[in-house]
Amino acid sequence: MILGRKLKTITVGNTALSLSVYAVVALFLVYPIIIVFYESFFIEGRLTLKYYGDFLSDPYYARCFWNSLAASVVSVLTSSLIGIPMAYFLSRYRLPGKTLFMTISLIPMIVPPFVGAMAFVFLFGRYGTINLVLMDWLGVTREPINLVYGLHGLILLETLHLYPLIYLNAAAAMTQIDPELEETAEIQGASGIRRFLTVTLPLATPGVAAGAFLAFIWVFSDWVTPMTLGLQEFLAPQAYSDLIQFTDIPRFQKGMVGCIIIAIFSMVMLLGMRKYVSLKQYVSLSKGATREGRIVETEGVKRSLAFSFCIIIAVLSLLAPVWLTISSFAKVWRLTPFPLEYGLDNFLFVISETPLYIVNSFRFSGVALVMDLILGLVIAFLLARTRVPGRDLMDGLVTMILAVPGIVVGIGYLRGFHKLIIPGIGDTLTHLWIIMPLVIAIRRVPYVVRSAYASLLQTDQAFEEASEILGASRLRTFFKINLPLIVRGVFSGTMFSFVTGIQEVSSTMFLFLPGWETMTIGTFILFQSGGRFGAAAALGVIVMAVTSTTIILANKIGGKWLGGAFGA
Amino acid sequence: MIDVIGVTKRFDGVKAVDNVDLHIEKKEFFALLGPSGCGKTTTLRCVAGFVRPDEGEIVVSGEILVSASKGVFVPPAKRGMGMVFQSWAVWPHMNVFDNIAYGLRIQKLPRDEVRRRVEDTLEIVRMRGFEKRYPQQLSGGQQQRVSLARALAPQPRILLLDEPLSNLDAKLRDEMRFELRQIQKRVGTTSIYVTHDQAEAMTLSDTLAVMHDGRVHQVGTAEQIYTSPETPFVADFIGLTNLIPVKIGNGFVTFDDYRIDCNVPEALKTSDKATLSIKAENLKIFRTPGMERNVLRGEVVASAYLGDVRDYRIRIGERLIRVRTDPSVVLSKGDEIAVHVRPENCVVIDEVRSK
Repeated sequence: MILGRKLKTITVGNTALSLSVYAVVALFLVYPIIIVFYESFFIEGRLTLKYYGDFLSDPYYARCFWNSLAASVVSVLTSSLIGIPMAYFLSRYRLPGKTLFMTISLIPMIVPPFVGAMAFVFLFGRYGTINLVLMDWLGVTREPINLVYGLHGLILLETLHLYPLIYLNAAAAMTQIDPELEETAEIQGASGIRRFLTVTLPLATPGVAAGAFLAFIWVFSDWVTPMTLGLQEFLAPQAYSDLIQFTDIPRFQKGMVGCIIIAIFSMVMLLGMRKYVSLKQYVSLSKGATREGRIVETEGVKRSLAFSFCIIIAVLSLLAPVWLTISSFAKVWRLTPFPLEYGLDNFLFVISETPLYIVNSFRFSGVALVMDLILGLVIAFLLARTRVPGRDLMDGLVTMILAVPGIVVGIGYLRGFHKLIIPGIGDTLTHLWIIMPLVIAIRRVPYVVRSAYASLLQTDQAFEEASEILGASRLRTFFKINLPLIVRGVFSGTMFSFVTGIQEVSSTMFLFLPGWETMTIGTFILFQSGGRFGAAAALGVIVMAVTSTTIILANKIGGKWLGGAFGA
Repeated sequence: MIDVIGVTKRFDGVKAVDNVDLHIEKKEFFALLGPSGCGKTTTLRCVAGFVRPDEGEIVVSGEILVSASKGVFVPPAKRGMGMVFQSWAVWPHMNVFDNIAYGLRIQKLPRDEVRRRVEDTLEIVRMRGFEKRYPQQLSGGQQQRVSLARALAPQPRILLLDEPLSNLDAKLRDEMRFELRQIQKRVGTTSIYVTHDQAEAMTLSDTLAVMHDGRVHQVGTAEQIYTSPETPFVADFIGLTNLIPVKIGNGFVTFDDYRIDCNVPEALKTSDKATLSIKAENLKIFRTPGMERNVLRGEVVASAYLGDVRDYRIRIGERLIRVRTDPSVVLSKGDEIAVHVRPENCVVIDEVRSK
């Protein structure tokens, strides 16, 4: 790999850039977090430890903590048990329908997790299809079986949502393993499974670990999915329920303490895993990214097993979106396994609000995307191509964003900006719609920085030097040389940010004002407080349709524009 | 010991290896030499088992490892071979000891035996004391030694080497060549060595095969290949060679207005077409010709001083001829000179039959 050398010492321009980055990060990331910490200890300026005491001594909260921990650990394990074998099969074997499996494995990522949860309630709920089939058609049981309400249901849902994260990271890592490293093991006499355990898996571990870390943080701080399942005894949903009681100070304070516990736990995890998730590690893993992975010839039983495994996972992955679609077209559906009558009523019900939701989703995610691009490119440039002081801190702050839960960012923005009147505008940030894209953007900065940083490091600095020797300024060189060369790498990171931005609810739920509802917020409200399940399903289907259309269009346009050579 | 019989391998319809036959003796150091894309690595990977031939057989000591027609295929893990890769492929997540012990542990040797064998092998490659180091802490040359030790430790019946020296810098490569040769002679493992570097193939091997476009052009000792090339490709690939299309006469060949006396292979008949091969260092330059036979008259076009030799380009008629002389022969551009070659240094290649 050609590692970009750091040229340029500290110039005035670079220093100014780096100071602006610090200013932005300080105001929109560090400040809100500090506010949450501060307010969890100080009530009206007075140090109050009572609520920490209450929280920590209450066995109920202890149960919440252990439940959250169990859900996170088990979900990471189950996701790995699906994602790692899948990555191996799809990166090493010639299986029929390989591309299809790869595409299907991305579907859970475009289904907002609570939308998937809704579908599972329709399917596995007390009076969902499965239970009704068991009771009414087969007569196996009289009482509904609890298939999904509880730890097991949450784990199932989180696993189906998160295994692609492990799969993608593991597959990327496995593709980058030099084939000769595995061949050596073979010629030394190692069997397939031994080679996998002694060579492939250890070499893929950094990638897998990064994915596992993100999955862990996700489950630990996810309040939306448990709430959709009606589960309360977990840290995050309990904190959310407490926080929305703004007037009930003891409850609100316990919510703040809950947030702090989640944040601290996530940060500690991050410290433990920083070896695997920091920018530098990430980049050193992506060397030789252009290499095509090794193909292992397989036949017979092994191949059939691998194929069946992929089929089962594909079916499970399609379960939620397919079932949601069926539910959305239900016109009459009362205690029967399948809808009695189909129609467009649900869609007609949401049609009046939907255009606003769609516009809002795109407006917020679009503006967030521009913010991410500017901030991300500047940070990546400073880290990869300059020697401005404090780059390690910058790397650390960017990486830290991965560990700050949405609930903390959301409440932090609310508490931090609701009294701060912006000079010149005369209003607080919480009253301006720009807060929505801001909060969406800040949570996705790491993805854009990572892709830009990796691309920059893989671009030979001689390209830039050739431009500068011909008399181009640094700025001109960046726009004419660097940007075109890294645009492909940045594109994937940007798409990921945009798509997950559309799905964001965990932070934005705290901040939206009437008229700012996005598609996902709208769906959540319909399902959670409105009880309009059919309409929620219809809106959920619209979210999925819009998201996947966006990805396909972006890939088409981007693909044509960039030479059609980037993955999904 | 090793027989490669009629092995053919196609990639997307293109023959990477085309009906290759090789016979390698026990304890022999055998080199596959050729330019990149000639099929040498694919041939080696067929022997290793990483590539499955479309046609042909590979037999080791009577045991069929792969046979397309009989449907036999022994996977690499069961072939009892050792291999050193171009990238060395020293596992970055294991230290030197664990790297080398890997194959021994698969053979389920007792702990003491593993330790003893690892240490013995490290002794052979002169890497004792590096057991606890990780590959990232080793230089390229040291990783190369570890890679060799790892391949040798399980005492394989065959050692395969895929351009193991090509990632080393020139000086180290030169040293490692001789050392590799010594180690192979000491342990006596039958070895196949793939390289595109003719000097490497010639210093290392007992026998070498020159490959081009998937086919074996010639098999022989370094000297045979150098002095008696059998195809124009081999003549051209090895050393600095002048190739001149000629017409066959009786005990001589002709081209342009010249006649060169030389040994003409018996198979060739008068007025057949053939290629005359003369190595650049076998041409002698004279300011005034002292003899009449095998003399070409020409003019110096360009010269280069390379330290141990001088490299001249001489125009003879319409042709440019390369000549390497002792550095003491100093000529300038435009000098009129004569070039002489002895009949025994001329090789006439039967182009039709060599194909």
